[in-house]
Amino acid sequence: MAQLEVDGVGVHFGGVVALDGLSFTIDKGQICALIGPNGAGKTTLFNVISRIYDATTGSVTFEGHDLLAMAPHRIVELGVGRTFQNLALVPGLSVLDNVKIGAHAKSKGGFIASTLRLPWVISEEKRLTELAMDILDRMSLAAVANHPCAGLPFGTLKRIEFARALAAAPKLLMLDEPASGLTHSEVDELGSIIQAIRDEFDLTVLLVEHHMAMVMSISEKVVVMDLGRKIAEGVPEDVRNDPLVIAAYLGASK
Amino acid sequence: MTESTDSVSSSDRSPAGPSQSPADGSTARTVTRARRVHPATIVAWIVVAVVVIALPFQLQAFRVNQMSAWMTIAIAALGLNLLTGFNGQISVGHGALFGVGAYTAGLMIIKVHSPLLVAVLAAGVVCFIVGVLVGLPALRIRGLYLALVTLAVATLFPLAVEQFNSLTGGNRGLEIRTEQMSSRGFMKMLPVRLASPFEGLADDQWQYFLFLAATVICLLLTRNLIKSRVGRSLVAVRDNETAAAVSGVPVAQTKIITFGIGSALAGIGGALFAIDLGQIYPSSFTIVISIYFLVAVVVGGAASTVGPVIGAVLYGVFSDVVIPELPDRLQPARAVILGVLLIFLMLAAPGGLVGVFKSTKAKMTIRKAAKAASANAAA
Repeated sequence: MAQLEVDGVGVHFGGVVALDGLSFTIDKGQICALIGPNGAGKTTLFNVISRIYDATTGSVTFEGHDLLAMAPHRIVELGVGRTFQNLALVPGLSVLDNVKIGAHAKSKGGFIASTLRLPWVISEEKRLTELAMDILDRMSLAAVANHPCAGLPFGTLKRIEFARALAAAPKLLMLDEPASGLTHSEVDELGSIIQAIRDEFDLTVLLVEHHMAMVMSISEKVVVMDLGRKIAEGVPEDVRNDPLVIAAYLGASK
Repeated sequence: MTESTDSVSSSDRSPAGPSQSPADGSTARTVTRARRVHPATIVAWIVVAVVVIALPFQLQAFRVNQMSAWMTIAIAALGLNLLTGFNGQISVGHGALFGVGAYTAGLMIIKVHSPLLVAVLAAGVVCFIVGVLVGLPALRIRGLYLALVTLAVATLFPLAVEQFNSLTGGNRGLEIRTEQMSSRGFMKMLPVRLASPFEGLADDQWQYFLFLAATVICLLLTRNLIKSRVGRSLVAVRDNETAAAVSGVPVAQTKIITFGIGSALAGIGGALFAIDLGQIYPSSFTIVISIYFLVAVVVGGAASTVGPVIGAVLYGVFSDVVIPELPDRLQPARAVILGVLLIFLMLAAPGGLVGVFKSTKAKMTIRKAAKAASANAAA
């Protein structure tokens, strides 16, 4: 059974149709890439799944849970983590704290317990620090752990966001253009990091990416979108040769 | 900074995999070292503690009373700092909640004859509830628009007190009297006071130490909260609601509870204020006192733990010690003097006084790191 089912999702902003009856599924453990020209609705779909936008029609089901009926902060509790194309970090916190906040849903300690600094709050905090440091080490970010986020280069910030998403121990990780702003060699390395992390943490990955070489080399499934609709779906080789895909990217031949 | 990021990207190119090299252990150690308290900080705190404990024995009773009043402001400012400094919800109506706390405690003492501690705690609970109600609009509006709503609350509160004059005494004020043993040895209704249980410790000094204890407890509790998982979520909600929500922070709930806690602290401060003065008037809780709190937070350093206390004390020193010393000709201009001082302070130290301290410390750390790096390069 599919882990994530997107079924007939439509999003209308007034008269603008950002998503138009989009349906596809992802199986557990897959790396699935979502590609398409700018404005195809890829990020809109991410925002629907993480409940930042409301879908006008359709449903999104994750491991049997109806995501569209959940409050935004409950999504990550269920195991859906994400990163943002243009970053959504907390500039007022250190790199370490930004990663720790990622584990918010998977940690405990409310207002009263925290105010009284109960013993288990202290040990929980210690656990979070160790967890976050492990992930920062894994992402080669340990050196900037106590640095404020503000002022770090874009590529580093992207990896901090990646680390924050991992801190929630997600089952499905949605990465929105992780390769943007990276150098050539960094992109190659990112591809192998994504694969390694998928294997290590037993993840499913949904990826929006324009970097075709990386998409084609690491994805097991590719969904191609254009103008809010799905125009093709399949293994990378099939999609690459699909006439509709070629038309969407290069323009139709008359 | 470029140095550190360079080193990161170069280590990036090393083969991926869970490498447990000795370098990892050393970075983990630097993390813990950065958290350790510097000896100079400990010495500074000891000096502060000695001064704060010695002062009431060196000063006249009216000065000691003034300092007690500063502490009530400090407690309310701690609450406002939690709300505005850490959670980013601007409130200019905190003076009203201070007033709600003062009147709650006053009425509890007069009507129910409750012990003073119970009255203070009740003021905290009532203000928590009122704060949650005032905070409800904050779920839909933020920034300046929220400030306008709280401005309305600040403006309405004194009018409401006057309106319900049968309960509150209206403009004549609420005299908080309790049954006490008079100097002649019989029971009489006298203005509320905290009677010192110790020989050699005057009432004003006893009150000072009780208020000091209350301030320290409130300071430690807010510090605990700020340094915790919840504290991180407050900052996340302030800086980036989307980031907070996708990390699993219940944004609406966090905002509402923070409004409640910030208000409860204002209420506790207000209750102590009422006990300190013994008589309260609606005119004590106008928009002006809300501005005092904001000044205390900003001068001390918004989003710093002890900043509001430092700010409240400085403001108290300015208005109760410096201003009366000025020549009579300058007295009418004291608001102008305060304004000019604030403008200069904000130009020199936009992060408040704690901000100055922090940036100096950061500069020293960077200098030390640079020195270590050049020493490494030489080796």
